[in-house]
Amino acid sequence: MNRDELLPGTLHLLILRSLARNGEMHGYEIAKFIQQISKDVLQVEEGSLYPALQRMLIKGWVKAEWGVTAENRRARYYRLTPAGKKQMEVETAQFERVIGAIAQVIQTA
Amino acid sequence: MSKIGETWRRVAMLLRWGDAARELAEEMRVHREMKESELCSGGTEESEARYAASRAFGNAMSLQECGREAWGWRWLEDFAQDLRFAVRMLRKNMGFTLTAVLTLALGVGANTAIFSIVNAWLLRPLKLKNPEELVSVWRTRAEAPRQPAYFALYHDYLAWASRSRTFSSLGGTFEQNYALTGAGEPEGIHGAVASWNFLETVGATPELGRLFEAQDAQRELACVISHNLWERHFGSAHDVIGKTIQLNRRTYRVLGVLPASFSVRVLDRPFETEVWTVLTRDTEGYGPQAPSPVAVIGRLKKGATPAQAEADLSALQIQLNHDFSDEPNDSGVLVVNLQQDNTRTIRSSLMLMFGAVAVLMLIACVNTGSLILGRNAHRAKEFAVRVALGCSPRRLVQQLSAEILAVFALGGIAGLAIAFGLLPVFVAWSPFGVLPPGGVSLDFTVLGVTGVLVLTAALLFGLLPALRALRVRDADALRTASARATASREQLKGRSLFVALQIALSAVLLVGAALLISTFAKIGAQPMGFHTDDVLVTDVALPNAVYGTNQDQTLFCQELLGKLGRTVGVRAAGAALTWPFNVDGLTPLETEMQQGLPMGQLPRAATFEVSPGYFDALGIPLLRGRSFEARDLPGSIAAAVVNDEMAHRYFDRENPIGKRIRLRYVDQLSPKEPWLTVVGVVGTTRSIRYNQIEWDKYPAVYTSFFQRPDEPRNPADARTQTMFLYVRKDTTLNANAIASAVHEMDGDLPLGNLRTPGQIVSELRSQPRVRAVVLGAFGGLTVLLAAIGVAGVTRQMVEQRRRDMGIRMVLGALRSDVQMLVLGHALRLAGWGIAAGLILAIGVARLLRGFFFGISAFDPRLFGGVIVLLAGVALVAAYLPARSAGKLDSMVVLREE
Repeated sequence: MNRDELLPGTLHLLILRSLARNGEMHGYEIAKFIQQISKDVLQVEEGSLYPALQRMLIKGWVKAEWGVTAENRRARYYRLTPAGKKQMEVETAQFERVIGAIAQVIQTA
Repeated sequence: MSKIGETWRRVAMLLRWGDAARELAEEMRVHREMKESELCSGGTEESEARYAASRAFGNAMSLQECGREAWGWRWLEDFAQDLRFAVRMLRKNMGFTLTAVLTLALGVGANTAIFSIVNAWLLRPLKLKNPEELVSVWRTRAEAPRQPAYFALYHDYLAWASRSRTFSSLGGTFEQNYALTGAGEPEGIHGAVASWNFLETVGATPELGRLFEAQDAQRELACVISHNLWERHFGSAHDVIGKTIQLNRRTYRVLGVLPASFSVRVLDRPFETEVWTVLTRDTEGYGPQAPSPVAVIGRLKKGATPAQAEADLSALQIQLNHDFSDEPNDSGVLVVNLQQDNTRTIRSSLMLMFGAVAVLMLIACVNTGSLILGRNAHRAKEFAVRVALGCSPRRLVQQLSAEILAVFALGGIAGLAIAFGLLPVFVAWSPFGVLPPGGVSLDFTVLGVTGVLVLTAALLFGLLPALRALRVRDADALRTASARATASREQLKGRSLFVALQIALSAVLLVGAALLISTFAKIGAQPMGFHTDDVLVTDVALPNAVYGTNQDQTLFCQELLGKLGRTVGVRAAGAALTWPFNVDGLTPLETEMQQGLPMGQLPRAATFEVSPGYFDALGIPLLRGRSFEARDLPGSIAAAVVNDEMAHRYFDRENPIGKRIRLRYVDQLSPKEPWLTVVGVVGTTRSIRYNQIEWDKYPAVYTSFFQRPDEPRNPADARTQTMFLYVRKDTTLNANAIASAVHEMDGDLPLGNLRTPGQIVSELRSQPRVRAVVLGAFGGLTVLLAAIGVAGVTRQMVEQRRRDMGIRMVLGALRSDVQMLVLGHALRLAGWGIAAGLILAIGVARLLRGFFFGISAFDPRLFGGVIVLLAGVALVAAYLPARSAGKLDSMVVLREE
C-alpha cells in the first residue's frame, strides 16, 4: 500500500474535522472516514490515532462515551466539545495560512 | 484552553488509572477486530487477516503504552516500575539491604529523636501570645555580664514598670510554695506570687473565670489556679469560681482557671506553677520601697529589641542605684528572650547532642555510600550487559536511583520508628529534670526536617557515588578482565576514601565521648565533704500565719529535732534554713583585724543558717573547737562556725577560734550585722554554682538560726519559712517516722520528698552526665558502624585481588603472608582515617573546652586510647575477610578467567 505521510501536526485537525462533519464516531470510523475522503491517500496509522485521541481527551477537545455499533459491538464514540470546535477553527486557519504560503512558494519558484 | 481543566483531567486519569488503561486496551482491541472482519469479508483467510491486522496495528502492548503516554504520567509509570524492580533487586541481596537500611535507620532515628528534643526546647515557639516579644530581666554581676546573678529588687521593678519606654508591660513574680489544706491530706503545691498584671503580660487567657485586675491588689486574698490543680483538686467542677481554698492557712478566693496548655517558667524552674496569687500591699517585704527579690518578665513594645530594652533599663538603673542604698553595687541589667532564658542551662548540652548526632548521621551516610559503591562494583558486568542490550544509560540511571531511593526511604521509615520508640525512653529518663512546655513529640516540623534530611542524604551519599560508578566505561567492562579490574580498582579507591572518612569522623566522636566521660568521672570522684548515702533530706514549709516569730520557728525546730533524735534508727538530726548544695553568691565579711577595707576588697564567704546537730546529721566533721549547742540562744554571744577553707584562706596559720567576724551584706552601706565569735572549725563541703559543672570549695560561715533575734512577721501574710531537715540514719529507720514526727506536731504541714544528698548531687550533675551518656552511646554506635565499613571494604579488596593473591601464592607466598597483606590494607586505611580524625578532634576539643573539667582537652592517654580502639576495631573487622583470603585455592583462582 502506498501511503503518503501526514504533514506533522495535521492529525488533530483531521480528527477534529471528521468529528465536526459526522458528529459521533468511534476510532475505526474516524480512520476509515479519513482514508475514504482522501481516496486512500491519507492512511491514519492506528498506532498514532489512539495516542492522538487520548491527548485530545486530556486537552478537553473531545468527549468519549461507550456505545454500541450497528453490528452490535461495544465501541467508544468521540464527539467534539465547544473547546474542540474552537480549536478546530484555530487549526484550520493556521493550516490554510501555511498551505497557502507553501503553494505560493511552489508556484513562483 | 484552560490549563486547570487539563491538569484536572490528567489527575482524574491518574486516579482511575486501571479503568482508563482497560478502556484504552478494549477500544484498541475492538478496532483490530473491526479491521479483521473487514479484511475477512475482503476474502482473506481469517488467521491471515488477524496477522495482517496485527501487523498494521503493531505491537499491541507498546501501542497501549503510547496511548497512555498522552496522559502525561509516563515518568510516574516508569518510576513505579523501577521501584518494583528495585525492591526485587534489594530482596535478592538481603545482606546489603539490611546493613544499609539498619545503618541509615540508626542515623535517622538518633537524629530525629534528638532533633525533636531540640525542636521542643529551642525552636518551637512558647505557647504564649506573641512569645517573641517576651523577655526576662535579670541583674548581673560585673564578672559575668551575660549571666543572671540576682533577681531584680521590687522597688527597681516598680520604677522600671512605670518609667521604661521599650516595654508595653512588665510583670514581677516570685516563687511561693503553698500548703493546700482543709480537704484531706495537706498537699504541698508549687505556687507563685505575681504582680496583678503578670499573667496579662505573658498573654494568658483564662479557661474559666477571670485573671487578676488592678483592684485585686486591694481586695481580699485571691488566686488563679492551673488546669491541672483544677482537675486534681476540684474534679473539673465548673462552680469552682468564687469558692475559697486554704493556702498556708489563709483563705483565698478562686478567680479563674488557666488552660491546660498554659505554661510560663522563670529561669529553668523544673515544674509548672499550680497556683498564682496576687501581690498585695500586705505581702510581707513587698512595700513600694522594698528591696525584696522578684523575677521580672516583660513584653516589649512592637519593634523593640531586647538590646534596646536592656539599654533602656540600664539607663534607668543608674539613677536607681544612686537613689537606693540597698542596691548590689557590682551589678548591671540583662534582658534576654524568655525562651532563651528558660533553656540557659540545657542549651549547651542540647547543642552538643545535636552536633554529635549530626556527626553520627554523617557517619551513617558515609557508611551507606560505601556500601552502595561496593554493591555497584559487583554489578559492573550487569550494567554493561544491560546497556549492550539496548537499555538507555538514562534509564539505567533512573533504575539505579529508584533502588537507592528505596534504600534511603526504608532507612528513613525504620529511623522514624526508632525515634518513636526512643522518645518515651528519653522522657522517662528525663535527663534535664524537666520537660519542655508542651512535651516532646514527632510533630510536623520534625517529620519535615527528617524528610529533607533523608532526601539530601540520598542525593549526596547515594546518587552521587552511584552515578560516578556508572561513568566508568561500561562497555569496556564487558570486554576485558583487565579493563574491569581498572574500573573496580577505581571504585575500591572511592570506597576506601569513604571508609577512611568514616573512621576519621568516628575518631572525632570518640575523642569527644572520652573527654566528656572522663570529665563526668572526675566530677564524680571528688569528695563532697558530707555523707551522700545514709542521710535523708526533706523540707517543711512553716507558714507565717501560724509560726509568726523567729521564736515560734526555733521552738518548733527544737521540739522536732528532739523527737527525731529519740526515733529508732536516727543517729543525728539537724535543720537549716539554707541549702548547702548550690551556692549562688558569696557574702563580704570583715574580721576584727581587717576593719575599714572598702567593700570590694573584703574577703567573701558563703553563709549558712543551721541548727545544732546539723554537722552531725550531714556527716561534716568538726575539726576544732565546738559546734552549735543548745545554749547558743538569742541572749548569749553570737557564735559562728567556719569551715576549713575559710580558716586557711583568711586566718593564715592562726587559730580562728575566738576571733570575731562580721558579715557585710552588699546592700548595707554601714555595718548592721552583729560581731560573731568563731567557736569551731568544720570540714569543707563542695557546692555548685548556677549553670556551672564544677563543684568547688568555698569559704563558709555558719550561724545558728536559733540565735536570730525575735522579729515578729506579719501574720496576715501567706508566706512561709522553708526549713530543711537532715537525718542521718542507720538501717533500722522507718522513713515514715520522719513524716509522723512532723505531723505529730502539726498535722497540716506538708512534707517534701525524702532524698539523700547523693540523689540531690546527682540531679545537680545531670548536665555533664547527660553529655557523657549521650556521647558515649553515639561513640558505641560509631564503633559498630566503623566495623561494618572496614569489613565491607576489606571483603571487596579481597575479591578484587584474588588473581593477584593467587599468583603470589603460586610463587611461594604463605597463607599468613596473604593474610598480612589484607590486614595491612585495613590498618593503613584505619591509620589514615585516625590521623585525619585526630586533627579534627583537636579542633573540636578546643571548641568544647567549656564542657570539660579536671582534664586536659588534649589528654594524650585519651587520644592514645581512641587510636588503639579504632585500630583494634579495624583489625577485628578485617580479620574474617583476611582469613578467607588465606584460604584461597590458588589453582582455582588462576583458572577462573
